[in-house]
Amino acid sequence: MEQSLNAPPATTSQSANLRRTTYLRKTMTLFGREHETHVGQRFLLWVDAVGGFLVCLADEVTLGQPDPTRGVDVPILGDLSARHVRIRRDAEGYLAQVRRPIKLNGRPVEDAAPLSADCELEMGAGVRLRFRRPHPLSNTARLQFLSRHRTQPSTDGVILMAESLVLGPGPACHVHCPGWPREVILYRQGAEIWCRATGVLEIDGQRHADGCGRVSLDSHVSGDDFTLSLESL
Amino acid sequence: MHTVMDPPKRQERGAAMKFTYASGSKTLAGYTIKRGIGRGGFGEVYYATSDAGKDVALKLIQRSLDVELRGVTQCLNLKNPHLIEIYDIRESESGETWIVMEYVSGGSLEDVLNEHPQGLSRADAMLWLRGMVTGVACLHDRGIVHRDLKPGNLFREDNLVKIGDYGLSKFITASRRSAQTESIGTVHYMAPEVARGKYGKEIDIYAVGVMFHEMLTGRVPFEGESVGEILMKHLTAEPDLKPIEEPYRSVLAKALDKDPARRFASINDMLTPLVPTAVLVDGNGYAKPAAPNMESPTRGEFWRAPLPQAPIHQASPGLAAASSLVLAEPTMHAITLPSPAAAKPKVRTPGDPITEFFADKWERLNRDSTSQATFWVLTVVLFTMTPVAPLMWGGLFWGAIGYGVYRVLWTMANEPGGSSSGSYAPAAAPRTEQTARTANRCAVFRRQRTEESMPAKGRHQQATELVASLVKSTVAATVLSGILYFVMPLLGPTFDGGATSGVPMTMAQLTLLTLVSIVGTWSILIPSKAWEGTAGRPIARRAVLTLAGLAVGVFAFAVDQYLLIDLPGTITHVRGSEMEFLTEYSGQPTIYGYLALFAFLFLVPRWWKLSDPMRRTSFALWPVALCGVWGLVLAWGCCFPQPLGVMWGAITAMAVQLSAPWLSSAERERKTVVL
Repeated sequence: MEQSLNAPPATTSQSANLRRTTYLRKTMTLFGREHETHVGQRFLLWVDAVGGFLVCLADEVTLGQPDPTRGVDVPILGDLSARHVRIRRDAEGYLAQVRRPIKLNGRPVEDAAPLSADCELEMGAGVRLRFRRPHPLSNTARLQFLSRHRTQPSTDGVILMAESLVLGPGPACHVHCPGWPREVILYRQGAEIWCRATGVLEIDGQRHADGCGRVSLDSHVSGDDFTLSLESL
Repeated sequence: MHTVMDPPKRQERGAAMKFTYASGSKTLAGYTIKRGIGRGGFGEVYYATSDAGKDVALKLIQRSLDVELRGVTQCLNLKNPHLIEIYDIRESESGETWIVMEYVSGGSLEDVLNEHPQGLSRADAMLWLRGMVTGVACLHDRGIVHRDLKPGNLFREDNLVKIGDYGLSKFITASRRSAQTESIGTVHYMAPEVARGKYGKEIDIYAVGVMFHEMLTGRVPFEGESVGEILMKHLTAEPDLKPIEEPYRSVLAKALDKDPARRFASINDMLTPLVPTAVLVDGNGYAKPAAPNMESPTRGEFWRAPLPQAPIHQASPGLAAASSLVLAEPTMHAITLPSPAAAKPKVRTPGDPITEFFADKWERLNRDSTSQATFWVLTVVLFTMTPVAPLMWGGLFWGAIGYGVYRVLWTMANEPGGSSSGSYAPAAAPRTEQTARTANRCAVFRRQRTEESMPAKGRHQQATELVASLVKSTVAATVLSGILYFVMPLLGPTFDGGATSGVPMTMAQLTLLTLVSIVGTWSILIPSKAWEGTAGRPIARRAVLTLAGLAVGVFAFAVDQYLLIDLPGTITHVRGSEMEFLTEYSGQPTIYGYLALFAFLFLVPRWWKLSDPMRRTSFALWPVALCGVWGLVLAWGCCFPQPLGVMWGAITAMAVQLSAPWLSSAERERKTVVL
């Protein structure tokens, strides 16, 4: 970051904020279109007739009260600390690193604890979430509110997206879409996000006959049986 | 029974729904559409946020008529926690009419019913019913008839039920007229008089009745393959309410009456027979007295004023006039009836006359310490230090047996109908000093509450639990038989015909004891699992268990014959020739002896109570003693060699309790019914 002669030196917090919010932006020109690729960010996933979800791409997310100055990845409108717990994903699974006391399946956790494929987290005064990894072949997890609390902006759940995000009617899907005849998959390919579905896919008005195409964080995707939109945060 | 056409809905949520506007559209100034929610009776519904960030639902009215729009105005200022609030009616630049409404994040009743094809639990059904009754009562109080009540218009958020699409029925009617179609999904909830053009508030009561039926059973009362068929059934057919227990059956019968004048006069009256007088319990579990009257509900509170005990089939003018008596939606507070013991701890529960007599004497004795001391001193002296001590012990023993037989017979003669829930007790359920009707309602409520707190189990889980119980009972029966094998000779009973005392069983006799105990325990666990959590008639269960006992008797006799067991044991009673069919001259029991022993052993005690997961304790000695004594008495009566009768009775009672699942009080508290 350039510093002018008259600008004050960057403070530690400013540098830290910059590091937290820095992401790799690669601009590509492909067939005359620009595609922005993002890594380490969040977006909202709106699925018509199903729900809205906060999708976090980072391997490490912080849950806490909404506070724009603190860079909380999953802001929850509840009686929590600003940075209450950090959930980290690695090749072995998920780990909850506690900043403030939480309960995991009813048992208090003081420092850190691994998250099993289906467990219940309780934070603060009654904020309860169910952590699930429903798909056996994907490390993507879903946080579902068991209490009346919601994220800000309001969504129906939080997806900690690893390599893929499966939407469909089955119980193993990360986003359960009752009535959908087939699954739709969002997956990461490098720093990009792609979408694959059976049948013709339309992404931002462009038809993909092979049912596969790259999406941006503001794309509108529709297929024969579904419509979903991504909204960057 | 399902018809070819899947009633009454159900395009599943999310299935092939395409919406006019995509995410990000700002077709209505001040709002940004985020996603489509579904399709209402008159157009599409979207989830949107205002520019300031407020969550709203936007309903696009596809065909707006000025006359109908004016009719909606009266609904704009309705405020009730059970009604989805209408914020505004706006027109977009393109001339479309939008209704800006409260967004409810919870699912609809339609979604819930989709997930529960067999119906909801009683607790859930009552939660929904109370919410919809309260909301509809508010509408009726303001002269508004909903006219399109159906599961798709009911939502639940935070245990608060909300009604939507009220006041908009004219739009729906107009839309249907224009489309010249009548959705089959809506006619299931249509009152018969609608076909004649009558739209009084009774049609809402009818629709609530249909939905209540659907919540309880998983299906609507009238199904068909066409609109005409369903409408005809609404007009002429009687709903089949036999599978539904009271008091729900009577409520449904009245709500679904073909004649609107014979339905409930007020929607609130539907709840009168269903919700007994309850006590509000706050978050700390302390009971608060029920408020005598309240104007409007507040979110987060549930209370119930003491209701008049009006019979269902009569009008309730008190309640009809009290239109301001509305019921708030409960929070996560448990509603409990004060148990009779807690309410009046000093009230003695009345029982049979002999118990009454001695209990009264015992109470008088306990009032005076001098008399108490004298009694105990005399008792100790008589039972230990005088020559008549053996006589006293014998008298006590035979008196206890005689009283036990008397008590069992008295209980059978005075047994109330009931469920499998509750603690095992050969005596009748304790009666309080409440009126008969209130006591009955309390019993219904307790039974309902107990049954509802039973977790809903699938067949797979039930089968798994049963297999586990059978395995445990096998182990328990084997171990207990082994223990008795070593213990019984020490107590005196002999197994060699009385020639010497303290002779243990032979291995063949032990095998018979063990195998028959195992099979006897299984014969109780298997039907009890089928009865778990259900209300059943005791006499029917006794009949089933008697048949099971006969089967066990046949099995025991078969083992006896196969192993050629020499089983004289100790025959304590020798009968004349008229009883020879029970035993052979040598003292060996015949097939009839086995049948008689086990048939009566399984007939009299309420064995299903010992395996009930909701029994008071996981293991109790009193039933073991009772069953043992009963086995002893039966063996004596059937000329069966002793002490097999008492052993089989006691082992079976112990093995059933040790192997049957049991819910602790902590587990039950988590599943306490929320009313």
